[in-house]
Amino acid sequence: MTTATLQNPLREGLRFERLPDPCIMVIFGASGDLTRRKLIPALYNLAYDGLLPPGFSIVGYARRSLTDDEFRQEMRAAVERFSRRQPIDPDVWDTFAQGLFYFTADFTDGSAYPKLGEVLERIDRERATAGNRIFYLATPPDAYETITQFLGESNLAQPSRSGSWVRLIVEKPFGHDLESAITLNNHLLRYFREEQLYRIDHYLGKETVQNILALRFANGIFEPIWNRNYIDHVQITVAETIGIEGRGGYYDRAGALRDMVQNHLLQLLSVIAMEPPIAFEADPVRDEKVKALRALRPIRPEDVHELTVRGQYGPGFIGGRPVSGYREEPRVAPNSLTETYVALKLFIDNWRWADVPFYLRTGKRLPRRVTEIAIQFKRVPHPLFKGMATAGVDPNWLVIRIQPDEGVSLNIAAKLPGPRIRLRTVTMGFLYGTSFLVQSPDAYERLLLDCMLGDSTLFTRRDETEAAWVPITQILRGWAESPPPEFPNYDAGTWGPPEAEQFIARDGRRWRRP
Amino acid sequence: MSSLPSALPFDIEVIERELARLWQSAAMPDRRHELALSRTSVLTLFVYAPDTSRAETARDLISRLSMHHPSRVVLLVATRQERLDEPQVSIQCNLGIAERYAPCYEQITITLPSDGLELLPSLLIPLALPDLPAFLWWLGPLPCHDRRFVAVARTVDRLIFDSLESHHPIADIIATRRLVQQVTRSTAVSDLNWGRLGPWLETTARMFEIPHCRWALEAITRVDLRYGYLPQHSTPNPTQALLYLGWMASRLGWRLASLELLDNGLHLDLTASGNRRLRWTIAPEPSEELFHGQLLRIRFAAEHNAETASFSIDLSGRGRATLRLRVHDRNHCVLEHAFHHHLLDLQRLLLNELQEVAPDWLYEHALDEATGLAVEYRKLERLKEHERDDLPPRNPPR
Ligand SMILES: NC(=O)c1ccc[n+]([C@@H]2O[C@H](COP(=O)([O-])OP(=O)(O)OC[C@H]3O[C@@H](n4cnc5c(N)ncnc54)[C@H](OP(=O)(O)O)[C@@H]3O)[C@@H](O)[C@H]2O)c1
Repeated sequence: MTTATLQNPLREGLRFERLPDPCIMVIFGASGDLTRRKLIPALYNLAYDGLLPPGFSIVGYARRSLTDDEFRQEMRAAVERFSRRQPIDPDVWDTFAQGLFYFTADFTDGSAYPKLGEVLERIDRERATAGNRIFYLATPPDAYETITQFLGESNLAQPSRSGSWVRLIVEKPFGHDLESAITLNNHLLRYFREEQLYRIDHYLGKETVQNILALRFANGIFEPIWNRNYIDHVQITVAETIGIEGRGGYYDRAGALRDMVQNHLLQLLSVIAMEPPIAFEADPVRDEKVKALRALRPIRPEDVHELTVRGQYGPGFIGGRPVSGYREEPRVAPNSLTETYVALKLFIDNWRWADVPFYLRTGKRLPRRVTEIAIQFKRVPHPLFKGMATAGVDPNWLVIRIQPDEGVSLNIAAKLPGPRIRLRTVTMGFLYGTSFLVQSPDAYERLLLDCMLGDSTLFTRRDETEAAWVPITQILRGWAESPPPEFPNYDAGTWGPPEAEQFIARDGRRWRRP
Repeated sequence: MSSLPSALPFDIEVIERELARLWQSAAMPDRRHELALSRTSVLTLFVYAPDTSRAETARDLISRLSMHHPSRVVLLVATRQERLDEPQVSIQCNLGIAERYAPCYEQITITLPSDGLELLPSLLIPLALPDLPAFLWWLGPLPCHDRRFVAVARTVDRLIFDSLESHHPIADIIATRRLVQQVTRSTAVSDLNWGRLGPWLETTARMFEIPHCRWALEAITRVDLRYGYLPQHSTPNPTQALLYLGWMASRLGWRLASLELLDNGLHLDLTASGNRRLRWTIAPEPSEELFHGQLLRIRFAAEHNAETASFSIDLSGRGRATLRLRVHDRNHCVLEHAFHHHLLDLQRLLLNELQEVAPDWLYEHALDEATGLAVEYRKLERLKEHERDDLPPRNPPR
């Protein structure tokens, strides 16, 4: 039998120029919420679309004792409930399920890992997965170090044969401050190389983040004005109507700053602020993002109250329904000082952005679910049209919406028809979803596929994670030194604490009503 | 010499004026919804329907498509009636999609005489939105033998047709290739029937990417391909099957050595590199209407030294909407892989086509090869016809 690797001439020119190598994904924490809600439905959808390689297999690892068949049944129920594709296709499911296996063990049991290795080798033989592995840490963060250490010690962290690969996906949160992130990185890098690490931030899987790069760098008209000479300020809003959805235990230790700003909001900021990368490839893109994050102006503890606002919701109404306050949520301390809202003003000290404020805000139980980046351009230098003519005319805003209704809009001033000069703001907009005929895949689908293909562009690199922890840690330190906030300070269903309005009003600006 | 078709009873500029008027009245702010009607356009889609019943099918599909896709759609309906209807112009906005925007599309319906091929360029050119790609979706058989059609095809960026509609599949393969060559500088031609093959091509390529199957690509000895045939249709349509073979032959450098017509299907002997021989059998198999002309099953056998393997790709499952790949190793099923074949749905198929503007060289190469096969096929068919003509009738009247 010829074993040499032949080029496949049939692949060239097909819709998918690249298909992942056959591989096994080991999910640590396979009986958990993330696996059920996101991972398995995403993998099933990839299978449905024919994007998974033949032989693709999944080994679920958790403590609960389950047989392969029980695991398959549970995962089928999960797909039926959470997949964006309904109803489930029984034929696709059947072949997908042939590749589902379950492994019962405690993460802390070192003797389990060599056994796991044997299971993986057996699957390699039976399903031709060629020694390629992805380990997915869908576990509580305190298990990351134990698992990776055992993987390393049982020789599972490195490929066992030439030409195969091993990758590790790490979920958020990645550390709880700069120091713990560095410790975790050092630990992971003892067993894995940086190229093997895929730190996931599902916000980056969103089409729109990539659309931002396309908008900025595939259009000649934006880049020349994308700087301090033309831009007055930037507002990034990630507003959620939901509360903490039963994740009180985790959230009460994390808070909005760690849970949202350190990753999602700073990722958005970095794609808005970065310099043009030399190529749309993993390292050039991440090099530029890191540079933007590193240029964030340091926040001294004494400035924290000037540059940040914290909030926590009390009871209120969302969409006409009464909802309880944060402190009444399950597994939240009744006198909790955890912030569920945060607003920040950041500066990027470089040539492009010197003195342009970036206002970031995120919160739970806000009146509507919206994620957007709004860029306000400076007013014209000389007001040609005076008085009443310009009443009601805003400066130009370029708004990049991420949810709901992904799209871009630009406000411009236009003259109302008629003999008098009267100006009004009009919005020109387009929606990605309605302008192109394709449905965006779920963020996890995109990211899992990228990892299988070995493309880490949309994953965060070590230096990026650490650079993002720097301002967050400075703020946390400043807060720790400040008097405790008087929480709750906003009602559920409002746009956050009144201080947030004053905070931006001090600069002569106001929050958009997104 | 054919007479000129009658002129259309309206001025084309009326259409643009009417659209402008509609947009103006639509722009009156809708205070109740505070909606901005979105006029973003991505393309112009011309749809040619040879009769009113096709026009209805097209209209239904267009409205489903366009509600999610701002564009201009011009439906051209051919009629044999003397009196032509006035053009209809409308703007359709979808209020239910997004919070603040209602994406809209313009729809223009024009009836024209069914012999009006040469009128078409004078409609297509002025009605296409500037700077955006223009697509022409041709329903019904493509008039690829009609010389006037070249000028029509040249007015758009992409011509979409469906070779499943062909009444003379073999002759049309040859004529289509000629058309593709004639319009190559201006227009990409795409065949929905080739589009339907996408998942088959993908699965075939994938089969040989499975590490322990790679050797088999260089060792294929037999291929047995079945496609659907609705017995009520007068002729089976082997275009998809021939395009599939054309694709493999063009990718792998196979050459036709001989072709034999069977009562039901054909045998082809091909030579591969190293003077290796392989045999294809292509045959129709009774099926429901949806699968007329569509691949149903392919089996590959490969042999190299003592190693043998077989692979099969089947349309299976409920509604035959799943493509299932099975790999057998000495009669042992070693691997199974399945995914949804979404391109049996015309809407999805068309959506895919509308995303592409550049020519599809893979299709063009497959068509080149399929044309070579079609030419040989036709020769044999003619020969057979001659032989039949020379024979005495089988049941001479007593
Ligand atoms: N859920 C989400 O939507 C979401 C979103 C973004 C990020 N994340 C992150 O993803 C990770 C997982 O979250 P999750 O919500 O899925 O957590 P979860 O529901 O609590 O699941 C934890 C999983 O880990 C397993 N596990 C815990 N300790 C174990 C041990 N000692 N030995 C073996 N298995 C053990 C549990 O298995 P047993 O039940 O068998 O003990 C369970 O399968 C977390 O880092 C979270 O921050 C989650």
